[in-house]
Amino acid sequence: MNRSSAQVGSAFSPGAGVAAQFGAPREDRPAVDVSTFASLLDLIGLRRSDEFIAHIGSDLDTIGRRIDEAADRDDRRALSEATHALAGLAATLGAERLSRLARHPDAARAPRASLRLFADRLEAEIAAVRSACARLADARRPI
Amino acid sequence: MRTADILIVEDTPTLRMVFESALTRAGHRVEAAATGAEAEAAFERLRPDVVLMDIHLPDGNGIELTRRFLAIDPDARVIVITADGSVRRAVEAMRAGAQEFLVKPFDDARLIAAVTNALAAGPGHSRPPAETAAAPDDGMLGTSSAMAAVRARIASVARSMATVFITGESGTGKELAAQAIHRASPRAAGPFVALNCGAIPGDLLESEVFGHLRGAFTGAVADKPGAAALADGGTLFLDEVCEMDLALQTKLLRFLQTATIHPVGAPRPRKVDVRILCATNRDPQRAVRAGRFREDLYYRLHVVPLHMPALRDRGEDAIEIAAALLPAFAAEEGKAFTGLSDDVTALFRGHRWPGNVRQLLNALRNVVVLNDGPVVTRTMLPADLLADGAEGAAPVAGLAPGAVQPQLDGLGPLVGRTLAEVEQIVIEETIARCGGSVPQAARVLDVAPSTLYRKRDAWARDGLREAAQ
Repeated sequence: MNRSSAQVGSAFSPGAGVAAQFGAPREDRPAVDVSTFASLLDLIGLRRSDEFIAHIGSDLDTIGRRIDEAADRDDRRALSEATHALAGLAATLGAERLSRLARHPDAARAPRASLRLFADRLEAEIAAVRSACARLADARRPI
Repeated sequence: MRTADILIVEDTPTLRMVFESALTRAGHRVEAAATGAEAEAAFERLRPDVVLMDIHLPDGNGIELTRRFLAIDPDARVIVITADGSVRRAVEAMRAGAQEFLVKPFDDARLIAAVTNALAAGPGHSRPPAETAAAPDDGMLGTSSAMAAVRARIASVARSMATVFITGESGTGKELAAQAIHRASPRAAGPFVALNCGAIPGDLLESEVFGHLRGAFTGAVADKPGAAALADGGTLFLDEVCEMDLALQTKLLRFLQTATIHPVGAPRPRKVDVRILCATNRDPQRAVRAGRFREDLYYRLHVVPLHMPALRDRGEDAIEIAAALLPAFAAEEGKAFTGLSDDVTALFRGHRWPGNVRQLLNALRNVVVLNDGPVVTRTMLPADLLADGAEGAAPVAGLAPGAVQPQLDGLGPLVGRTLAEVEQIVIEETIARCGGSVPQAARVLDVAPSTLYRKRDAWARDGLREAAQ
């Protein structure tokens, strides 16, 4: 395909561009920013860190399920509410990549097929954040 | 620091735990609620000094709950928190009486500062101003006396059928005022139809206003209801009315006198029930004197005048608007801006704002897209704003007259190039600074994304042609 037709395609078929962006994970930054998360653990305190990690896992699972169901039903409103919740949670945890993905501006107008791809991409990123949080909390435990 | 009773209303347990830990560590007594119902019960029991309120709740809306809490206890301070940092949300929160609007993520220092500021405000500070609370949700921010007068005028004319003639410079919010009048009127359930008389070619305007039937003229391939018919039962807003062609002014006058429309090609006129609002950024009397605007039409339309004040005449409104909308823009763009530096505040306060609120919003959007926070500094401001300031701003203490020069020095590499080359360089650089996002760059450049796609496509074709030669 020559360059100009590719550009025309991306300009007039937002779905194709959306799919490419959702499907292309960027691994240039860690799933969770270490210093942001360390500050949170300091704030919560060692005594309650297990409870904190359990809340994170449970919240990410719950929101992930809401996104999954919304994508299956093609329910844009439910999807928008769930991604907003995820964006806020992820940003607070220092999971900037997940937060940015959840706020993806093209998600609202993505075709249904791309929406599934979007949900799958979020699910993979949620798993990465969840395991990074648990790992960082473990690393701070006294031996 | 004073110890306060704080109610956290947040449905995500992780975030509840973070906020609770930060506030408890700062010495406050904290109670948390996960739903609106739990929050209402806790508010009645606790009567907290400060409420930290999430907007999205599983059983309701935090903005509505804010209104209810402040109706029960006007001395309570509410800090609204959300991941949805849209401009609309920020405006809603402030109108509901929120003390502050925090966009996630925010660190514990920012949270504590917000609570401290809320406690420092006098009793009743969170109560929305009476005129604001009574006003429709008009999207207009600012508590200056000039805007209070506008809101009072809107409230008093809304229930009437009288034609309102809105004047004001470009960017002062004339259409927002028209929408506010419509929403506060008994016609609120009907349509609001806006027509920009200056943006439609003269030969099409008659058909746009009054409609046409299929076959009435070449190209009329289907019946088209005009704006007047579409607004039947509601409000027709004629923007830039002084730009209207003289021949059409005659027809508009007849429409106002008879309340009938005659679509092009229709055998007979029909009655419509429409309230007319109109606006212009020109001096309508000068247009009358120059013979560009019919005097009889002017007097027919100029029943209730409403003048939208220029932003430079609105006291501290520029600062209030920036403070309310900066966090929302930052959240939309994924940036961390929280406020203005002292010299930017001083510059905004003294600026002439020739483009009014629209110019302020464009400048903020430009800063947020191209930079990151937490504080907006002078070097982040668009060069044209600094240039405007150099020419027209009131003197600002501490700023050297030549302070604009470093910004203009950056133009050096562009001088000597063709205008087409300059356009391509600026567009490509803006897209690059927006992380490759064409829609985001289009917002900065104030053009449609399709314009940028089209231009890039043409440049790519030119490049291929040159490579083939």
